Amino acid sequence: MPAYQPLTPAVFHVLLALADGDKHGYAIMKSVEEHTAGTLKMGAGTLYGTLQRLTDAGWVLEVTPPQAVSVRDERRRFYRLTSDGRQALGGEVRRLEDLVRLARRSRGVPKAARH
Amino acid sequence: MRYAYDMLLRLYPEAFRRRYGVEMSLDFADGWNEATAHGRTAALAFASRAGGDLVVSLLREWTRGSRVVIGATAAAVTLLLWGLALQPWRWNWDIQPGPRHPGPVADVTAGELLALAAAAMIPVILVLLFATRMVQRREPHRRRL
Repeated sequence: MPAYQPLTPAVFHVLLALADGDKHGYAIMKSVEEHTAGTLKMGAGTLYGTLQRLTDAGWVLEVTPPQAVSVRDERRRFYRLTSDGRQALGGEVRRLEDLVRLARRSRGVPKAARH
Repeated sequence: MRYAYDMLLRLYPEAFRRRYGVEMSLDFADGWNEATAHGRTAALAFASRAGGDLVVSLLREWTRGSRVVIGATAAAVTLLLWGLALQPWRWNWDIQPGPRHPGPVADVTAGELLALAAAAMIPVILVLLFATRMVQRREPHRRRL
């Protein structure tokens, strides 16, 4: 498992949204909003810029829409997380876990945040 | 509203627009419909968020292409800021060789010149920081080797 540089919040949230299954852009936006309880509302420009980078990096793949989608959704592309993308997400989660563990051991951090 | 957004989408680089333009337009329409269903405030918040996102992502997409573009932009902004910073001295201090024009000659001390040089470096540093950040954003996934 290679070590990765920290991911930007946009990249992390897009990967996390796609970890649940294939989604189109609008569904990714709604998923990010839901995951963050509405604190992060990703705009279309940011989302598709991020998807472009992730696709170019081979972490995300464009796939054909499933059969059951509506006529409106037929015009949308669906995106899927690749195994490289999943590994990167796992690496980032582990990195964040290490940081939280480190912070919780520190006496300077308020007790309420340590549990 | 969607028509206006579609017009603004034309400002993106062509390759990006061809690849994602239709989806961005559909997403905007869905978001707008959802926001207007929640009232005027929600619609206003959505429009302002979409506008802000458009400006930031336009800048990002246009500077993503190559380091040459970033370098040229950095040079242009730096020249502009230097030009603006030097304007007051151009008015008061005749730096052209040859016969002097009549009128008061401004006193420029060594300290003032030093302060000018230091202040003029600020935009250069800011532009370099901005350019470095843009290059780093292009490679969010780079592996540590």
